Amino acid sequence: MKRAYAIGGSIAVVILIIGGMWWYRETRVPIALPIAPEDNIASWNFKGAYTGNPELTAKAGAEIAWLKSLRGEGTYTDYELYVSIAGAYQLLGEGGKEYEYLNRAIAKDVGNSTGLAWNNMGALFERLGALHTAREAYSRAAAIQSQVLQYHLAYLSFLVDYFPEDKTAIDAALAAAQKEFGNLPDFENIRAQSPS
Amino acid sequence: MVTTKAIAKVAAVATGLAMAMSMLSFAPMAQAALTPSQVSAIISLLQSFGADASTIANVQASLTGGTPSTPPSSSACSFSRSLTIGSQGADVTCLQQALIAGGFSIPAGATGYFGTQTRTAVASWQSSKNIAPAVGYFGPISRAAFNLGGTPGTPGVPGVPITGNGLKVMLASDSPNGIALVAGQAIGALGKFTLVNPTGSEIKVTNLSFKRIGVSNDSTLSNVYLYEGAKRLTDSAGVSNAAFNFNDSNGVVTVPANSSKSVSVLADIAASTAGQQVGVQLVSVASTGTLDTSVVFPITGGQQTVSAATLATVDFNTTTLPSGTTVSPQNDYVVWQNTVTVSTRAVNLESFQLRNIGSIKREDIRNFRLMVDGVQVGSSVASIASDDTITFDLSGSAKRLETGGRVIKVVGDIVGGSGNTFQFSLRRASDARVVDTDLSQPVLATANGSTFSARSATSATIDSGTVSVVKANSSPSSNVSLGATNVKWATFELRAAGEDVKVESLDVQANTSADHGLDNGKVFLNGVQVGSTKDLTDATDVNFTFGSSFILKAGEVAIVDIYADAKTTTGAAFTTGETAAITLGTGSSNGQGQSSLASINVPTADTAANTITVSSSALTLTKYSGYGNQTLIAGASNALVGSFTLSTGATEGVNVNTITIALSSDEKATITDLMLKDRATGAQIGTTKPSPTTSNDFSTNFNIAASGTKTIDIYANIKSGSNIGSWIANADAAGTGSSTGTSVDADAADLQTITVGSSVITGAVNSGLTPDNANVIAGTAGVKVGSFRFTSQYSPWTVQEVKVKIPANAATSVNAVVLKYKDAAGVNQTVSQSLALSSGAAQTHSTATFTGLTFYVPLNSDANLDVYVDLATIASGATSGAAISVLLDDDEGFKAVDSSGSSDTDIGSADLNSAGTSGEGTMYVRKSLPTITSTPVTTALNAGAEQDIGQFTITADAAGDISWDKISFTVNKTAAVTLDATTTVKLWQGSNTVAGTFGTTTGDLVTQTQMFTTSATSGNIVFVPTSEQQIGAGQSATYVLRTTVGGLAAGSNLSVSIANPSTSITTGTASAVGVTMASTPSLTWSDRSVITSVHDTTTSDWTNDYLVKNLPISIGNRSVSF
Repeated sequence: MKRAYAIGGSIAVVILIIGGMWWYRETRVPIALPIAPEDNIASWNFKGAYTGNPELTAKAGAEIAWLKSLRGEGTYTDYELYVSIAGAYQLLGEGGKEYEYLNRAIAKDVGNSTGLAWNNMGALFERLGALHTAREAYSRAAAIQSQVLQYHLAYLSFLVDYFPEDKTAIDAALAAAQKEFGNLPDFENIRAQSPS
Repeated sequence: MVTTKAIAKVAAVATGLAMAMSMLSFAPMAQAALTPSQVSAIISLLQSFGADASTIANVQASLTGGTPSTPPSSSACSFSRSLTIGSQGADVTCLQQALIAGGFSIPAGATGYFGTQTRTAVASWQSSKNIAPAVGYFGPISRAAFNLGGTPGTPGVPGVPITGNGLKVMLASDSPNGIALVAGQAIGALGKFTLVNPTGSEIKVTNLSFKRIGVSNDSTLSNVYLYEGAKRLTDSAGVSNAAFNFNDSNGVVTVPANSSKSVSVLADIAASTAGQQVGVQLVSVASTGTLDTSVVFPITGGQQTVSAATLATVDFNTTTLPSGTTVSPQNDYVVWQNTVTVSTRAVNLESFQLRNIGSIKREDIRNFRLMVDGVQVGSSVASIASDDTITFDLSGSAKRLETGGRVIKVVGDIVGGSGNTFQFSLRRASDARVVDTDLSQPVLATANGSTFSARSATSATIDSGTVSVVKANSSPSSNVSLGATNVKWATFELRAAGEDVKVESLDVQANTSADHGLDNGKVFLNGVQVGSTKDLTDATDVNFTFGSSFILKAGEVAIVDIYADAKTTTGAAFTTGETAAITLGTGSSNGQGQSSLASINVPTADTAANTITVSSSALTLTKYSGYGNQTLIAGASNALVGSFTLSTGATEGVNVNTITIALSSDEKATITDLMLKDRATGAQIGTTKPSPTTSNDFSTNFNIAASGTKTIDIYANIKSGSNIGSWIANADAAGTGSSTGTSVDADAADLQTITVGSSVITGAVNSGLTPDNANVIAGTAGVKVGSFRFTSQYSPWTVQEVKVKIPANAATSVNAVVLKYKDAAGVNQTVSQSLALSSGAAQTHSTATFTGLTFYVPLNSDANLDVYVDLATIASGATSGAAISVLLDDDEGFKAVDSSGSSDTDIGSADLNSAGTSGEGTMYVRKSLPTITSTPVTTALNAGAEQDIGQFTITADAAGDISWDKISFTVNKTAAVTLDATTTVKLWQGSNTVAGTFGTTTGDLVTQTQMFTTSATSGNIVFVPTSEQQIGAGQSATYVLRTTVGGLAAGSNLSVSIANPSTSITTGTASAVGVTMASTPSLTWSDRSVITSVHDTTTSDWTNDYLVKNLPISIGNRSVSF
């Protein structure tokens, strides 16, 4: 009996340790992209598409809960689920949470071969006005998955809109896009929006 | 530390000594208490501590039994002997104390012993007094300079209050002392004395009594004078019993209040007096004031030594000019002239003084100038002084007179004195101070080789007055504006001389090029009109009479201006380019001398002014060319409704005082708040007209310089609802010439045509910035779908509301619609909105309704509204294959507002559709995407089995797995080449073949042995796998197409590619998309996004090759070498 207690206690300790490790691993949010020193985010919240609409807010909340429940279930990858959850937080205008789940998604991309979360992080920081951070995020999306046209378009448009004087960066982004897709009219049309 | 200790020690010693000194100061010791060496040691110690001299002196006095006291004034000292090294006594102590008090350092103090320190101090003092040699010997010269029994004088310093209770008299600091005089010289300097008046009233010194001192005789001084600077104050005084004095009840010299003057005693030194010593002693002074109590007489000057030397000689000629007995008033008249003969050596003329002994008033002759050999020397003398003298002081820059005859003359301007006499005379030899250039002593001049006697010009009587008339340099010469009134045409200078002259009339003649004369002529004397206004008949003397209003003061310049209008005598306008000139005609007894009563002609000859051209003035109003006709919207505030330019001609500037804006009744009813603004500065001109009328006068006050321009804008608020078509303001302006004051009126002009209308905003799909169709991965945020360009006309617009529509079947794939635009400040704005399923009865679209937008479309420009979507993930409900396009609803949910507040709720006649242009504006949602790449097979083509004819790789996006179920290859070959089809054609993946069936587009199965006929040069070969081929997320699969090749010959070629034949998307089951040999797609693939059932070829997530990256692509190109 005494021995059983000892064994039970030991198991409990082991469980606690393992649980703690699991909890730590699950709850720790690795920061894939820190905020650029030039940026100052006054508020992480913004007016999302659902902001101010209780019905839609509730819908998003339920969506988040449901998506969280699917983790590890196998129907969807955790990467996709985290991106999905981040998207729901975007609808709610909760930038901080969106940032958290995009970071979680990136952490799941072991080979760092997916640009989706990076692209969405660029869109998030663009909306938050953290333009240098957004620039870095868009840039990484286009670099990691250069074969995805949308990432090039997003990065190039962002540079033209917010860094129109940085011709070097714009030209470099344009060259990278053209290298992958050729001289698409869309590229030139975007480039033409910046000062010559 | 050493230093600190040393300082401490010194401080202790110093403290002790200070205590000792204090005790000594208050308890003098007996002289015998200390030995001289002990006293000396103490004094040395004090000196080493840097004690001041007076302290040391006091200590020493105490130690030696003396009485410490304040330093005595030098006047308290009595020197009966010369002092030098080794001298001792009270006189030495007194000298030392005086020197110390005067700031001359004697470190040992007043010891009573004349040592090296005292000698050094004396030498310094001698240098300061210009005593030579300054070697420290205190002899007779120094003793005299030290003012034995007197006080060394210090003239008053400007700005420093002079103190005292009465007139102070002292020996001047620069009083001569020990100088060498020359026997036979003139005005040798004997002494100089300073008179200081510290009181608030002037003091007239009425008597100065002197005593000759020194080893000399009374006869040594043949003439004794008192001078103030270069000016002789007195006649010569005789010396009797060594005494002489100067008296004048009106003041020998007058010392102004709180001021000082110095007077010098100068005397002619008799010949044969060499070896004598002579000086002067001031023994008494009488004045209108009291003497200061400090003054002690006698005040003794230094003694000068008379030596023998040969001086230069200066001899005045017998004849002195002028000799005329009458003279007309005139300028530059020689009032005195004599030829002087200089002999032995050159002399310097240092001063020259004449006296007038005539009856004229002192101001009747002015502006005296001294000329030597025809060249003026020194400064002019304005007028005769109160003592009737004129004195030229050349001491600052003496005129050297070389030996020989030198003509000395004085000229002046005779401006008054008609009927009176003048006669200038050199009264005394000493009045011409000529100094021997070698001996530096004045020479006693002679006259005609004998003792000097006065050299006088002939007494002359000044004739009756004259009047000179000349055209003034300032007489106008610039053009005159056409029609200008009250224009100054001429300016003359009239100057009476000899006496005041009354001018009773003047003849004024206008000579005009077109013989018109001038209208309204006027004569102004010194700025005031005299006489009446008369037309100036052309080329005719018009006589203006003045009564007694035209008096010319003798010697003064009077300005006479002639004014008239720039019009003919009938008031008609001149023609541009005509000229006019004014002449004062010769007078005939039209002036009268006010003293002599003699008649005078004014002027004595015709005197013409400048010829002046009459030109048109020039205020021109023109429509401003930089602002064209405009269309402005009703309701616009502060609208620029016109602009014009005012220009002036070269004649003169214009002060614009009125601007008139004329409007029709309809036009004035259209606007409010009419105002003018300077285009250059934006400053408002005049006051706003809240309710304009048909004629709106703006009072203005601004100048436009000659040949200048100013552009003026007209602003107004255009009333809402106004729609009258064209609106044209008419502008006019008037002003006055800046110089002439003449009125100038510009011609009115119609300004820009303003069309009052309604502003417009239009919208259209911006095809250039709407992206081409593309596959996009579900979950992507910020996917741009469409760009819409809005264009404004006549007003800037702000789009406030927009409704975005998305096809309903794609709505679940969209999380949110995002708009991006720039606001009025040019700042990027991003807003998002969710979709609602509610568009039209059929609910064909979902809508995102945006309100509160600030999308700004600048005036007559355009701006883009970009529509993005945030895609849902497949997990969040996105549907693979959903085709997302965006539309802006044309008549629902749209609102834009222009600058007048008018709104537009209709974009156009139809929704704006991003997909309106084929190939643009639709994004297809995919869970994952395939990418096909290839490293084409390019090796030499060989015949035989298992020949690689194509190689390619399919890569699944990291977002998810993909599958494919059909692939079609396009083959191009040389005609003779054979490709086995039945048995050997295989698609390999690594070392395995992919199970499936090959065929051609002409049949489901390859039934013939060859893919194509031998003669065929191209065709398609299609592979349909037995089961879908799956590629994992982020994984790739590389395939090689192999078959048996034959029929080769030199130059044979075989190339294989995967085409891109689908021009639109098809989504559905594999069969629906196309897996038959004859179906179009070159690639039938799936993103395996359906999760509601097990994925297979029957799920509806299959699609075709449309938009697959890198298609078409070459996968092989082999040739047989020649």
